Amino acid sequence: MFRKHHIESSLRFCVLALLAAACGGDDGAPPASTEQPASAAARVKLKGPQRLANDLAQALAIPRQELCRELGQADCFETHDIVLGGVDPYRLRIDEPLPEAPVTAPMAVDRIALSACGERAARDFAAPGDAVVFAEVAGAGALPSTRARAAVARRLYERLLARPADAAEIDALVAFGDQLTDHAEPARQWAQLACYAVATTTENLFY
Amino acid sequence: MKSSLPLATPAARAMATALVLAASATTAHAMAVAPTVVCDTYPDADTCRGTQPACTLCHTAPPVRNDFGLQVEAALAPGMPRPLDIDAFAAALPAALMAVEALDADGDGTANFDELQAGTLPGDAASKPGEGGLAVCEANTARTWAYNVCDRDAVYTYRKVMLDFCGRSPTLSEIEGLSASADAWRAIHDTLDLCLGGNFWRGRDGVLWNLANRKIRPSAAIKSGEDPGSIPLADYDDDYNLFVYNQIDDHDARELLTAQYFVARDDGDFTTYTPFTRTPAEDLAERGIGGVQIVDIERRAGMLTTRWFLMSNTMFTPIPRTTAAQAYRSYLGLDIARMEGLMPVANEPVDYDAKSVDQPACAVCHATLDPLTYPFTRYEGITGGAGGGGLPASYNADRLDRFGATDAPTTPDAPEAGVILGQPVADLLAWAQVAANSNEFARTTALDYWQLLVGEPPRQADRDTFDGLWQAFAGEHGYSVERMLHDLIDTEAYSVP
Repeated sequence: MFRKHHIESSLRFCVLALLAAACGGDDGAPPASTEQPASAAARVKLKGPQRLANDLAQALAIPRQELCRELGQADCFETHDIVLGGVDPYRLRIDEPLPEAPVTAPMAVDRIALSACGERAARDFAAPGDAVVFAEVAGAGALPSTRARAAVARRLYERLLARPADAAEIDALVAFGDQLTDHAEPARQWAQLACYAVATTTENLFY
Repeated sequence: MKSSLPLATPAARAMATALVLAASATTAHAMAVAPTVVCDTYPDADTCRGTQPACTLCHTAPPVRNDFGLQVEAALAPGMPRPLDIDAFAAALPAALMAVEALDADGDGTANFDELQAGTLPGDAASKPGEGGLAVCEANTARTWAYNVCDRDAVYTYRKVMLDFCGRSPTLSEIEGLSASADAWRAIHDTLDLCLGGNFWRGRDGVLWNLANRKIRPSAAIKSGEDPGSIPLADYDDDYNLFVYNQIDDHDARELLTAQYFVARDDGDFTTYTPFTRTPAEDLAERGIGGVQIVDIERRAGMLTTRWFLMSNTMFTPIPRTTAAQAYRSYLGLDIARMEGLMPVANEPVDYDAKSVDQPACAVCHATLDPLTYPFTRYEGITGGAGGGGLPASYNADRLDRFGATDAPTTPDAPEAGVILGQPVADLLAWAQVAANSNEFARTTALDYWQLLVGEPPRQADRDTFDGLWQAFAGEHGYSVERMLHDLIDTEAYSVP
C-alpha cells in the first residue's frame, strides 16, 4: 500500500519480486520485505505545494527557495501552485484545492523532484567532502559499486520517507544503475534518478 | 446542552412547525414543512442530528418528486382530495413515511428506513450507507515499519499531526524519539500544541486563514488598506484576522458572529493577534479611510457586519438576500441555494421590494430567506440610490426609506425583525446570538475541521464519533477549537491507518 513505491518503467527501473535477502552494509541488515494488510478505511490526502516543498527542503537540506525554478526564474511551487493542490482566493478566486488533481499535477511533481534531486546531486558532487545525501557516490565518475549505491539508497529512504528501506527496495534502486553505464556521468545520473524515484512515491506525495 | 431552543430538540421543532402551520395554505409552504415533520418522525435519524434534511430528500426540484418522494406520495392520505392543506399534509406525512420504510425506492439494496437512519438519500442510488467500521484485520506481529491498520497507530498519527499542523513530515530521528518516549500519545498531543502556535497553522495564508476563504470570498481588485487593489472599497484582512483569532488558543468561536471588537495581526516568526475596540472615528484616525470599520460598536456582530462583508455582499441591495444566505451557508452550513435549512415562516414572503418572490415556485425558498434577511436591511453596503444614503458599511436605521422611489413603495416597510432557525429575532445582534448558540453552528464548525483534517465528510461509521465531537465542542470545550482538535486527533478516523 503506502509503503511500496511505484516504479516507472519509462525510467528504466527494474521491478523485483519481494525478497528477504539482506544487503548487509555498515548499518546492518535492512528489514525483511513484508506484506502489509490493506487499510480497512483508507483516507489519503495529497501533501500540497507547501508541505511538499517543506519536506523536500528538509530531506535534501536545500533552502526552500532553491529547490526548483522554472526557466531559472520563477519558483516552481508558486508556478504550479493550483495544480499541486494550492489555492489563490484573492485573484483567481480559487478558495479550496481542486477536488480532482489535474492531468498536469504529475508533470509538475516530476519537474520539481527532478530539479530538487538534481540540485542536491550537483552540490554533493561539486564538494564530495561535504556531501549530505550522496557521499558514497559523489566522488565517483563511473557507476559506483553496489555497496555504495545501497548505502545511498538507505539514506534516501531515511531522509525522504523517515524509515528504513527494506531489502527489495534497496535492491530495486541499486539494480537500475546497471542500465546507466552508457551515460556520460552514470554516478551523478544514478544519484539524481534514485532520489527522484523515492521522492515521487505515493508514500512521499500523500499522507 | 444548548441554550436558546436549538432546533434539534422536540420543543424547538414544535415551535418551528407551529410557525409554519399558523397560516397560508399554499402547496409550496406545505412542502417546506416536511423536513421538520421527518425529524419529528425519526428523531434519531442521522440526517436529523444537529440539522434537518434538505428538500432533495423527496424532490429533485420541488414540486417534482424523486423516486422516494413518489413512494411517499402514493402512501400519503389515500382517498383525501388534493391539494392537501398544510395541516392535512403534516398530519398524514408520518404515516406515509412509515408505510414505505421497508421499500427501496432507489433500488440500491438498502431499505428506505435504513437510508434515513444512516443519513443517505433513499431516492438516490448513488447515495447509500457504506460498510464502515474496522474490518477484520490481519494483525502483523513481525517487527516492521509498516503501520498497524487494526488500531490507532502512534507513528501514523504523529506524522499526520506534523504535516497537518506544522506543515512538514517528522524526521526519522523524531520518529525514533517518539517510539522511545514513555507516552507516545502524550507526546503527540504536545506536538499538536506546539504546531498550533506556529505560522503554518495560524499565520497569514496559513491553514486557518485559508479555511476562511469561502466564507470571506476576497477579491484583490477591490481590496483597500495594505496592498490595495485598483478600486479599493474595503479591506478583508480584518475579516481574516477576526476569523483566525476566534479559532486559536481558548477563544470562544461563537464570537465569530457576536464580536464587537476587531483584531490586529503582527506578522513575524510567530504571528500574534490582538483584539482592539475603537469607535469608527477612532479607527479612522488610526487607520485612515482605507482601513476604517464604520459600524458603531454596539451594532457589530462579528463577521456579519465587517466592512468587507457588507460591501461585497449587500452592495446596493435594499433586501440583501445574498448577504443573509452567505452567512447562513458559511456559519451554519445551510445552503438555501441547495434547498437546505428551509424553515418557512407564516405569511412570508411579503415581497417588500416587488421582486415577485411570492410566486409559488419562489416562495418555497423565500418564505425562509426573506425573514432571514430582514435584520440585515439596516446595514449599508455601498451607498447609492436616491438621496445617497448614509455612510457605506454602517448601521442606518432609516436605510430603507430611500429605496421607496427606486425599488417599490413598500420597500421601506420591510421590518428589521426577522426569523432564523424558526426563532423570531428583533435585529441582527439577536440573529447572531441565535446562530452562534445553535447546533448548526457547532456542527458546521466541527465539520469544517473534520473535512480539513480527515480529508472527507464523516462516513456512516464515523457518525457517532462526529456527533460526539461537535457536541463536546459546544459543551465541555466551551467552543474552543483547539480543545476540539485534541479530541479529533484521537478519533479512529484520524489515527487508524
